[in-house]
Amino acid sequence: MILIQQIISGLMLGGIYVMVAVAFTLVIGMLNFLNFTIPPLFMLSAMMSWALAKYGLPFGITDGPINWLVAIFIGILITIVASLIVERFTYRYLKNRYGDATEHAIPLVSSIGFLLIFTNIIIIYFGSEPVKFPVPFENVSLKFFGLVLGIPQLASLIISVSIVWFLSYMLKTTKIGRVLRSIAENPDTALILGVKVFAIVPVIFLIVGLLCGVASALFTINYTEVSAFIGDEVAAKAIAGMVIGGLGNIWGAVAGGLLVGVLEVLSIHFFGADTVKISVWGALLVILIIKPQGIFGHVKIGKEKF
Amino acid sequence: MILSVEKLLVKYGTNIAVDQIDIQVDKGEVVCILGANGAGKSSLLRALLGHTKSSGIVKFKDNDVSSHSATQRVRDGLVLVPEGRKILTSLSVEENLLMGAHLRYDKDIYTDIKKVYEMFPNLSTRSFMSASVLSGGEQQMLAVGRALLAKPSLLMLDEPSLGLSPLIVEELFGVIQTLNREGMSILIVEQNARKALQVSNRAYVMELGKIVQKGISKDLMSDEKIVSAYLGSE
Repeated sequence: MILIQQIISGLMLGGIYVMVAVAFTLVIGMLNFLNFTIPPLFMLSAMMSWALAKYGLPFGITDGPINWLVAIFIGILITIVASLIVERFTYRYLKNRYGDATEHAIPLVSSIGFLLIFTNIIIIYFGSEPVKFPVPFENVSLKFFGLVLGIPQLASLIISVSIVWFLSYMLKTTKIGRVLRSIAENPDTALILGVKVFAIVPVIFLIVGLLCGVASALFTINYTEVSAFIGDEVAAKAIAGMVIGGLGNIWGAVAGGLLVGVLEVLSIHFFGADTVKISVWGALLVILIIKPQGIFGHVKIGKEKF
Repeated sequence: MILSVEKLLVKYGTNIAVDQIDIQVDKGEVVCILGANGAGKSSLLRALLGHTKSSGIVKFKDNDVSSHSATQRVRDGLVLVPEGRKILTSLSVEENLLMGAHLRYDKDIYTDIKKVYEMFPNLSTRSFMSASVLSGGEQQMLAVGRALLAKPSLLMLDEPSLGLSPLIVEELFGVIQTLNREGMSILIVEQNARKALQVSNRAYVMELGKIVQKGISKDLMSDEKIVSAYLGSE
């Protein structure tokens, strides 16, 4: 029974990793670059929500703190805007200047630049100490056949899986999804067919911002403690999950993210908190040895991803 | 006149790929451009589509489209079947066709898809399969079908016979002739000069980015220089 309880908690924790892993895998699958701004975007959402809930809007627009739920929504919006700014200056701007559409080193390096910028702005204004987010409820949970299900955790699992399901559905069946898949396969062909590639690519960054923002909001509600560095830990595990599941594959990222969540909780339960990293990265190593393309990955990355 | 090109220049750095050429295509005409590898034929088509930077004047349906983007030109009906077919293999056959129609918002898209399936029955039996299972010939048919779904006024084909068996090439050029009989203007770039001259009304010969000869296709077929350079003895 305890084991089942642990696995369920792991799945619920995994829900957060799933969203971040999907954000990573989407950018890799579509644009062929590892977006290093995902960890700071995750952090930005949490820290901005915290700041709004604590101080309110600046320049006297509101006097004093604003409602925590409103703060979280504004935090998600700020994250989406930040992600679009990143697109403007990492992907589009640099690509226009230097040519090659598949050149992924330039956006990769400049996204590392944004990682430093975002993290340091937050440190300058709010410090590097962990802070407490004012969620008005604590340990609300359902009891269910002797299992304890935390409602915020349950909500995070349901929300993340449904967002990912919706995203996958959109990519599979809608027109914009079809256009996005064409760009993912071959931007040059998409241009020949008359696709406005530069108008469509921001959509991917909008989705990335949304995924990071929502994941971060769920994390904040669940753990209530946020800092300028929360993105790093979560994103590292999400990357591990993404690689375990298979690069560029959405459902692979889902499976990998959930697996990492379960692994984390189980290793805390059996061996203590110090062993989390060993088991997560150990699992990654094992997968890389047995099945280097990941559980759901194709050998040829860049084809039939969704 | 559906397409008129004046002094088109395409440069890659200091290399001149297309050197100030003039081309015209009349409504309902099939025009072919012959030339060896590296003559600048593909650069010319890409520049016409607005996909490659160029200078000079491109007039399409009596409008100056030189400053228009590829999207605008495709929407106007200037459509390219690219070299090497460029089928999207992660999409199904039908999705590839739908990508051809992605700039259209009218209700006839599915009627037009049906027409393409009637024209190429092989595609209809595989409509929901991945486009990667198609043979080379079927991929070329899909590329043509995809271009047709953009409702072209001028269909440009870049090396359509490349890598296809003679039987398929026959079928393909048959399709091109049928389309032309229905009134479509067509611009073909080909290395298979014999076939291209057979189906076209007029032809241009390109060498190192320049037009070195032009004329009625039938005349060019008996021109000694053309015969020795492009047709060979048979």
